[in-house]
Amino acid sequence: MKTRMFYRFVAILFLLGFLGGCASTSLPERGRPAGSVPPESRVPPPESRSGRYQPPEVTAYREPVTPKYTRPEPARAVQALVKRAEDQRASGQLVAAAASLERALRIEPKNAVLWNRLAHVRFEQKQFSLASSLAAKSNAFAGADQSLRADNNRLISRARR
Amino acid sequence: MPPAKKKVVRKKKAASKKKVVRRKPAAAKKRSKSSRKGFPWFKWLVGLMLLAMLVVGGYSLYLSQVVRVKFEGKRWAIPARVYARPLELYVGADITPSRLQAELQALGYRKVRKVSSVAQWSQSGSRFTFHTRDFLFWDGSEPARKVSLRIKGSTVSALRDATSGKPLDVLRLEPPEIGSIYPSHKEDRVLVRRDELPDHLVAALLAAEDREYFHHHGINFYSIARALMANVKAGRTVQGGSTLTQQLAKNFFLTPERSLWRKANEALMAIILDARYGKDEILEAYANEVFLGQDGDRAIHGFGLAAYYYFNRPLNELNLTETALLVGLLKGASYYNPRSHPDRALKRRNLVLQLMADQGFIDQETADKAMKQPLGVGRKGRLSNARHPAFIDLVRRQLQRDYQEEDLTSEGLRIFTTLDPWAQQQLDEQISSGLADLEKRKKFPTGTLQAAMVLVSPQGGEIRALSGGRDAGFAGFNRALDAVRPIGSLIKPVIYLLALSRPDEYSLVTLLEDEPVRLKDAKGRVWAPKNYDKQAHGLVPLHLALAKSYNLATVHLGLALGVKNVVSLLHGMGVQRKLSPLPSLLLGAVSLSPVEVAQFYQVFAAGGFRSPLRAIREIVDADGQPLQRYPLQVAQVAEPGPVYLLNRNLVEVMRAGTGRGIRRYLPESLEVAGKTGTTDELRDSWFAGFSGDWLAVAWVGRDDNKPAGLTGSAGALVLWGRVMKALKPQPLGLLPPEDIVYIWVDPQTGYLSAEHCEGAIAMPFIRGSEPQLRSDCLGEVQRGGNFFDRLFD
Repeated sequence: MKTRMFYRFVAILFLLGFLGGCASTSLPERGRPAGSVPPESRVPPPESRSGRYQPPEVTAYREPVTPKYTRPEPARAVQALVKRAEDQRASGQLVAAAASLERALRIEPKNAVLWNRLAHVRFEQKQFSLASSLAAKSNAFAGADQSLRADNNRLISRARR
Repeated sequence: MPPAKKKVVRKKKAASKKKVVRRKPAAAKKRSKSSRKGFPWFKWLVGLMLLAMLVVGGYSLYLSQVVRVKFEGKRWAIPARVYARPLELYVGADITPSRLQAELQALGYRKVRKVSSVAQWSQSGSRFTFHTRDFLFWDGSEPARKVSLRIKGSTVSALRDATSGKPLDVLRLEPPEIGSIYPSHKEDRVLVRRDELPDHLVAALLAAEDREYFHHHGINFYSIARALMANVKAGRTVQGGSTLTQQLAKNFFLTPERSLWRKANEALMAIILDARYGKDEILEAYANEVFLGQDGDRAIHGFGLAAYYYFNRPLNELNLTETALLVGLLKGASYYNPRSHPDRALKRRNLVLQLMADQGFIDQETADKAMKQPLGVGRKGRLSNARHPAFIDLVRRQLQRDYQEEDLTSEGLRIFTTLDPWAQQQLDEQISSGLADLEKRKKFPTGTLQAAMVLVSPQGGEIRALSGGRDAGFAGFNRALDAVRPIGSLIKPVIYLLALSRPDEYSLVTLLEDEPVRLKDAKGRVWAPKNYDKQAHGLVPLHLALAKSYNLATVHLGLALGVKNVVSLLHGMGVQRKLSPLPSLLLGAVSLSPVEVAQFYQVFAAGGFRSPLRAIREIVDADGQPLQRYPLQVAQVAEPGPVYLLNRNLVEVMRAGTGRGIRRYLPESLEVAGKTGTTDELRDSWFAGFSGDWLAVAWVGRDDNKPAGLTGSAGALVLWGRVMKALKPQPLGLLPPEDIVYIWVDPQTGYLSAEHCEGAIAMPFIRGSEPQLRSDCLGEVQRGGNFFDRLFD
């Protein structure tokens, strides 16, 4: 019975030693050796007029929530207006098509596809500099929609020709 | 559009020529007939008669000319009508039930139990049913339809055609009318055609004013005699014998003189009118001409406008009782004014109804029923009849660039604007309560402070609301357009954008010198600006200099960039005023109006794209034909990357800088960007900022230019915050452009750092402009391996 207790004690000691060894070897790897002073504390803390320590006033930039780079589903209303604009464009009513797209843009001002469509209508109306700006604006909202970006870039280079 | 106008004028001239030519042969014929007779005494008699006829004929000719000019001229002068934006309804649209109610009421729709005809609405819980009016828009007509709509929370969750049950994609309500541009004689009217005059209006007119109208020749001797008898009997004027035609003729004179000579002239003109024009034509002119009320300095003429003015509905939607009230007003629009003298108006209305019954136009039972009705005159509600003088002033100025004054006040143009009446209402309410609040805090007497504010849609540059001062109904000094004041620190973001547009020289962490500056101008005067806290802060990172609005760092930066370059960027961003490139410009010694400030802040809000601010979308002529469109214009004036960096910095202003006070109004989770501005001795308090869906610029100060004692954050930010809170804005939702990377840096030194290092912050950089130097914390990591290098590569 006594020998069993002894072995158990040795085993626990061994385990503790093993764990301790792990801990001491892992810290330098993570770049923070035990006992080293954090860099911030090497500079004297800022003092306010009252002489008390004040935490730094700089608020960290929070990394913004990365917006999803999938083409979002537009509202039903926007889809209907885009369709109307497409019909108007097909029948040569370019001014009306532009008006319909502007109406859709009032509903979804950050919809990259709408800016792209409007750029195409303006291009057809030979308003090249406006078309180019509209396509650039579409790019600003396109996120990682590469096919839309490519189309905008084609339009911009054609408009600048 | 001067061509349209010219055409009309030409038409009028052509018509007048034709008529003058026609008259000449008739007069000549008369002369040749009378010259044949022989006896001398007879000749004398004929001569005298001829003379008399010539005099009478000549005078008639003159009167006839007056009648023609007045009659035809009057019918043409229709003021331009100005409309707010139409409300777009669709599934997903943000709207609360109370706001929808206000919008429907503003259009004069009546709440009923069950919707049975046009312009009615009903509500049960979150479900609305309403029947729209048809409306001719610039791009085609929107048909009248019965609609059922459901609101969940504050969004439209279902929208259907109530008749067919089919879902509707998008529904555009008719736009509410917000005003008209009437000429200097202040007559306003809405033209109605003869066929738009309801039968019961004609019946009421005949019954109350001129029962023989369709049978006499302009004057009615019988009714004059009857009136004379009645007046003699009573010993004073109790009855008038004038026909409608005479009453119309009376309106041709501009003065209200009452004399026998004038009466005779009116009678003669009435005969001429009757002979020359048809009964229906005269009736139409009469219905459009008569004076029916006074609204401030605006005279309400004609039944078309009176219907809107008293009932906020078109004439053809008025019932018998309401029409009888309008006809009753003919006897004296101010004496019988239903808003100020409801008892008199009710009595008069019931008299008209009784006369209609007596003469058989309606049966007694109908009359009795109608007499029991209340007056039904609408209050001058905030949304409905509130006129927006500051916004209309802006519209008028934009129009005056393209149209002549006369076109605007006479051609019946219809002008579709960008005004959002709901946003305007929030603006007006918050400015008046916010200023009262500020005055109380500062212990100023009421009325000391003034304010101006502009609300713009960031991506489209549409001016959605405008406040020209604390009294929204006052059409005086329009501060939003005309209060040209130094803008102070509002200019700083332009300087920082210019710096960030040179990524190889500047990033958000570049250290700037916040040290004293002494400059001498050409005349040897010394300019030594100071920071607001009168201290110099040494080396400060660029982002902190803007967030804390440090003057000295900004002057050093601006001088390094070149003041001329700052000026040319400002011009590029849409400031058209001439600016002198003096160093003091760097601290906002530039005077601009709130609308001009909104123009250049729009570029930040739109990610570097300038859209000229607009108040008008479309203009159509009186027949609904499109005349002009003011399309959405876009021009890129800055690269998206630098603008993104600047906007992140403007978010920091709101989170940790001079705009921190916004937390009293908006939750921290709702990200907005903005900048305060304060001028010398606290004369002007400015704030300009934007959310995802609104750009707003606010100014607070005093008209006498004395110090208002308010910094940008103590004054204008308060109004800005109150308005934004009321608008329930969308968060900014900035999208990082493709060339933006986020890097961990040490905020004190701007050196590369890592997430685990204490105080490290993630900062956006334009790819390639990241800091090269490593902080100590990162340096030690370096020895253990290049894990972080791999992470950020």
